[in-house]
Amino acid sequence: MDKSKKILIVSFAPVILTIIFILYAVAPAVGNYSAANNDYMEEKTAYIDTQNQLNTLKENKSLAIELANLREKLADFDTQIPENDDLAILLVDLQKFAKNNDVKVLSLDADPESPMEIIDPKVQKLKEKKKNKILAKEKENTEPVQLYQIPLKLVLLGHYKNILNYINTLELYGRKITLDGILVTKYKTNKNSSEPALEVTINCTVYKLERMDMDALLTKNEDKSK
Amino acid sequence: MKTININLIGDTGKSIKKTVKVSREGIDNRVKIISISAIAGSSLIFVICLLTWTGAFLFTKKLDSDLKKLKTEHQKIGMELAKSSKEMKNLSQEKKIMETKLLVKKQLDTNTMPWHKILADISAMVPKDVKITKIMKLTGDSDKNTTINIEGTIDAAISKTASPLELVSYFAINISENKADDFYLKEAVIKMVEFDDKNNIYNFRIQTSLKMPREENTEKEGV
Repeated sequence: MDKSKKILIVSFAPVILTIIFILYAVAPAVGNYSAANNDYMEEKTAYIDTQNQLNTLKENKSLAIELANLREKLADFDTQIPENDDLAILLVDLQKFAKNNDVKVLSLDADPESPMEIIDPKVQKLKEKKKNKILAKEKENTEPVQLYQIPLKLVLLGHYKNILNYINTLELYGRKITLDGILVTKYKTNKNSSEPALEVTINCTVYKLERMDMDALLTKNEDKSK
Repeated sequence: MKTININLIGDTGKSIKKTVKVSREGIDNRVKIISISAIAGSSLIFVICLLTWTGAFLFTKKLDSDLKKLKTEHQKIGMELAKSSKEMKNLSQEKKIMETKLLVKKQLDTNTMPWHKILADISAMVPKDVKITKIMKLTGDSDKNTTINIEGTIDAAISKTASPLELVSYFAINISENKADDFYLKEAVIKMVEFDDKNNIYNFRIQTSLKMPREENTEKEGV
């Protein structure tokens, strides 16, 4: 072989080795770097997004303020309308009031509880009853609470003034009692007193509020919409 | 004495010198330049590539380490976000419950009548000898629509000052004509008066509307 050719071949050996080095070492290394850089940038973008979302959530104080206002407005709500019927406690209190007002509780009948529709009184004033019915039907499954009414029939015996005071005590009582009607069933005259004793039946209603399982409600609604 | 000089390597040395000379002279200048360029170029490129490879390797390693840290940090704030989202969801649910409770409160407050005051008003207006037997709320959709039925009896024999029918009329007039601000009843209408033969009494029914004095006053003040 010619010497020049030998020299050329020997001289091109480093070139070939360099090419091999580029192909098998440099290019993959650069590729790896590029991939790692992409991964890093993607992760960084996702991190910034999450950070922003977190900051937005932390800065959203309006909901907390609204809740605080609502809590203030509804401070005595759970006493007025408890989650259980608590009729035993009510009976004890009614007896206590009767004793304080010199009235005798002759009987107390409680009818079975029944669900009650929750309606905004302002909306009803606008006489959009038809629309309300549709809305109520739609709302039916999404209301987070269910209101129940428990009708009571309370029979009292006492003088008119005492019964009036008793009714006043009921109105001031912590638990919400709505009076629907008063029936005077008997007038009992007494020789010792100028005023007759009255046997009065008071038709009234107490309420209870049950919390619904929100997750179950949402699932139910989703199923319905499907 | 004769010295014999024996040159054992003389020719060989000469021949080597000759060979070197020949080989140097035998290489073409182009080949020289190409081979030098190839070696120099490839060496230069090799060095650059080596630096690039080292740099890429080190940076990749650093990026991997940074990525690991970032992922850990991201996971941490991701958990915090999930927690905050859950809290926010709970707050939203609580808000909805509170709003419904407020609606319930308004609804029940609207339907609640001040019975003590109403009974006091009735007892102040009812003429003597008239016995009230039943007071019922008829409608409770809103304050303006709420009406009250008042039922009672008058003993036909007892009344001396006026006839039973007059007493019922006085009772209705007393309610209708009382314009006091703190009076809760208005517009009394006599719905029924009938004589009960068996008991010798008159049964009557008066229907009256309910006004809420305090609310009316506040509305006027507001205007």
